[in-house]
Amino acid sequence: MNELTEKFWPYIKLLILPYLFFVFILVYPINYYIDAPGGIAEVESLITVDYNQDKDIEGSISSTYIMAINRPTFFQFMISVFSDYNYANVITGSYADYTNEEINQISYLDKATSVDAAVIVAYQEAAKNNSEIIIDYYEKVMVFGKAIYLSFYEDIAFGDEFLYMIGDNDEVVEDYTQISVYTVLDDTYEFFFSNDKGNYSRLLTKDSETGKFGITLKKYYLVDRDNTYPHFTEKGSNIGGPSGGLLQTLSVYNMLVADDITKGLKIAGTGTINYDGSVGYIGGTEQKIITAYINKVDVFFIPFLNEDYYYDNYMEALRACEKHGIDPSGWLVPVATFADALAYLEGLDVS
Amino acid sequence: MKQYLNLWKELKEEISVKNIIDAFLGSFVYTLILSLPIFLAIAQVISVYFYLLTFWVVLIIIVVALLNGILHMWWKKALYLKQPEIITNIKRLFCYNQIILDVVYLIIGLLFIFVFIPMWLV
Repeated sequence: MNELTEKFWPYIKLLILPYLFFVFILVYPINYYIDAPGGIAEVESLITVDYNQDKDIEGSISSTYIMAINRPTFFQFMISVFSDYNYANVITGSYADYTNEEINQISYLDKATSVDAAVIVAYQEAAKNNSEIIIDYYEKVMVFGKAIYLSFYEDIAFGDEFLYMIGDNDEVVEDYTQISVYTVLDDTYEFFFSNDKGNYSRLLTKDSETGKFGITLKKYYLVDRDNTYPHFTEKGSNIGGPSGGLLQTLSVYNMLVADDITKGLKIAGTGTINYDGSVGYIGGTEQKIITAYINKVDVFFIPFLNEDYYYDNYMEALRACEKHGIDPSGWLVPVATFADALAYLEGLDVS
Repeated sequence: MKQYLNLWKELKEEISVKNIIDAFLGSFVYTLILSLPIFLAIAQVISVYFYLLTFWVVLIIIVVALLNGILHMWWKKALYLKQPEIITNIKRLFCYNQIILDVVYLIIGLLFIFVFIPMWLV
């Protein structure tokens, strides 16, 4: 070791500052986000249904993911500008106050609840023609957002279940939509939550400026697996976010019905799924279109809800295609509901 | 293989295990210092240009092979600095060593491309 150090010492002295500078730009985060093309992931690898096991599925149904980098390093930011496919901007809104870990927690909460929504919608659709299929689910209100002024910020985690709160005149409020109605007389109220460790309560105080507690609650429907048939298995996932909902629904539905709705095609797409079967908007449309194009998919479903809205995903996708010289005809399919996607596949003639 | 083991035996007898390990640790530390920003940079390039993942894994295999070469070059240099009049054919010994390690890195890289990455990206 000493021999090498003696030998290299003149070079070490010369290179130490550039070396430290390079390491600095490799580790120092900046308050931006980058969206970059990612890949497609077959839904079958994530969810499997114990039904129609001998059915031969010729094509594939995949969700599309992008690389969403929150607070990239200087280096990531610099190299991202070399590609026209990437998009970088300043982090704004509530995400600006969240740490990267918290953004990941939200993303995985979204993913987990999206899978349950996909299963519910797909099972309900398949059950219309098959009485064997049973789906049961329950309601759960969970913590979905936190403002920086939330009391006991660290104690209350994303995904914790809201049980009830004690409102004015000691009223027990279980309906989260009624919280504002029963929290008029005072500033501090006791909220009850539940997580893996058990039940807990915290006294939450309203912010003096906004007059709000700083907590966002959202109602989810989760599958009651004991009362659902056929059983399904959900594997752990490294891809977060709810944007695979529509494709997850299509894939689960395909596992439940006798016919192969893929018709041998490579199907991908994006869009969240709502419990009524409608499709919701997603972010990173341009990068998802590029990802689909690179992966040579045959069909790509994209939410199309309002042609007058500039940020409608389909309108964004058309602009992205124009920008990158991609021909959208024949593979880019606008849909508003799960039924639209199903109808498109059923009407396809691939002979 | 026999020739390879004999060369190791010769080297051990000539400059002792302690000196070989000391020279290795020196070159390993310097290679580590060199490779740290390289791998950080590659990881960040991958995150931004993820759609070229397979290409990056191939690049990582090449970079690891190059770093392996640098490690052996500095190891050899450290051994000669300890004992300039070494008779053992270190060049040949380290060449065998590098080939063996490069094959191992290649197998690991291919496993990542065909097995681990498809499993991970669910």
